[in-house]
Amino acid sequence: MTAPLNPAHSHRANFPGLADNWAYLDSAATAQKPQAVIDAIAKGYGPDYATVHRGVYARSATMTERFEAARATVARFIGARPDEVVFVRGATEGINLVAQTWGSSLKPGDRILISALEHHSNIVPWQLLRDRTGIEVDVAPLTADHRIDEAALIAMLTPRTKLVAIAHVSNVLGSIADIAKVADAAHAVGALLLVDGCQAAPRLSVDVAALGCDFYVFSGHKLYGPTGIGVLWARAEILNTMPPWQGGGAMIETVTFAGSTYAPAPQRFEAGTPHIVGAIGLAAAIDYVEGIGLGAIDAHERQLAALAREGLRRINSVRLFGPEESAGIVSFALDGVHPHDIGTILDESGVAIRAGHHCCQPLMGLLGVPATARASFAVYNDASDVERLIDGVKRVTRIFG
Amino acid sequence: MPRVPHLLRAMTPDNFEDVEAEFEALDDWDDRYRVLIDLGRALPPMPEALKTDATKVRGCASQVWLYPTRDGERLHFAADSDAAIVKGLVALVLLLVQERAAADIDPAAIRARLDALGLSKHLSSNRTQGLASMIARIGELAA
Repeated sequence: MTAPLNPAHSHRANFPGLADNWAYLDSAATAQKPQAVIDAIAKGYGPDYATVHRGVYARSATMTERFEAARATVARFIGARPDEVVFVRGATEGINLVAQTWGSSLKPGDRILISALEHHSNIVPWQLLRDRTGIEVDVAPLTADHRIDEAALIAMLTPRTKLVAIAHVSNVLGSIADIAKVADAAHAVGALLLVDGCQAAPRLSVDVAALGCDFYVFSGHKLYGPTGIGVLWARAEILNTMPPWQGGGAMIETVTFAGSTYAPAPQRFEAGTPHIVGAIGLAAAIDYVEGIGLGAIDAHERQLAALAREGLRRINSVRLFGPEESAGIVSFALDGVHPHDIGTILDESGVAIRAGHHCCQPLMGLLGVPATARASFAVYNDASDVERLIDGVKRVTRIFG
Repeated sequence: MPRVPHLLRAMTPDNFEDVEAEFEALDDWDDRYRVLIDLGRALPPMPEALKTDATKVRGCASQVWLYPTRDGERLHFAADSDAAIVKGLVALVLLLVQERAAADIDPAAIRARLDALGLSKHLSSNRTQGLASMIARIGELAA
């Protein structure tokens, strides 16, 4: 197993969380943090710390500039305008924000179309909205190799479809959706497109203008950044018409007991003191991945995913899920062995994978398993991690043989 | 390769000592896992009808079910897991509590005896998964 790898594999040394002899293959759950991000956080809470937007002293002004520079960095990262970028806790909060604000204008009989591989975060907020407003939620099927069946999805669009909400990259299967194609079809019936970019932002170069979507959400911690910070991007003309979400400080213009007026977007959606250092840490993470290049990271991970699929396929009892061509995520099962047992034995071998339903219970039902084992790759992994994964799975088959 | 279903013919702490001896005699963790898996396989089957939301012990990747009944002071448990190693751990715990008087059941002692087998070090994920919740639930029932 000595396929050539691009120089990205040398980045492991930048991640203090990666102990020697630990094959961390759970980056789709959360990525380890590079020293640059840890340093930015330490500086943010250390010598740079102050509040933003309100202080009448130099430190606060400087911090405000850094916080807004972080917003500009995020905007540049996804090809957007800074005033279209709302800082949220994570993608989950971003989707809930859209469901509770933009979604409040929907009428009974309106429809939202999602896909069968969605994360619970892109299912449950729409079900809650359905329960509040009487809309319908439709579910587009998958292809035989577990990609969103775009043709079938497009055929399910109706004039009552107001929103399509799908994952850019599946967190279970690594399959990649053709967002531009879905955007065109959605817009043709007057629907908007929301994209869950959690697994795309860390590995694909995202340009919301080229994708043609209307909302894009992602989480910082999967992108080598801090937990508790994420991004909701919405096209300006949509964001500006959305009503406020949470009320409080920072989101207002004037407050009297008779009523209040609200700040323009994005501040209208950022009530309370924001996660200042989180935003700064996220910007440092973006600088980090851009320094390596998203294209190089994606190519590196695809190579590792292909190696993993090749090695796993040679083990007779392994069942592989997802398309051959997938981003750096590989889901598999072993005949007669629960994924929890696979994960337990792999942990013994110093290999960390995810075993479970990956917050995608409907997808597990479609795959016909209660859970899968999932190995996910990141910039710091290399072929030796794949080798340890394969050796560990062989060990599982020996123990259970 | 050890085969230990006989250890479960009588669910008593004596048999837990047999497992301890077996673990001691083995020098390879893979063989110890096989002992655990065999223990789990030898567990009396739990009727499917008893596997309900009410008997499910919360865990993420694997599921554990525990159905307690009481005969006077004595507790009896039907239990199962869908993961083989967890099921073996469930069987190990049952060796210590099955048909015992509630007053004799001490969750801290159960944890200590599992730890002494090296299980917390070697099966670290079970510190936070269903098994820990199962021991806690047994403790609540016995209290």
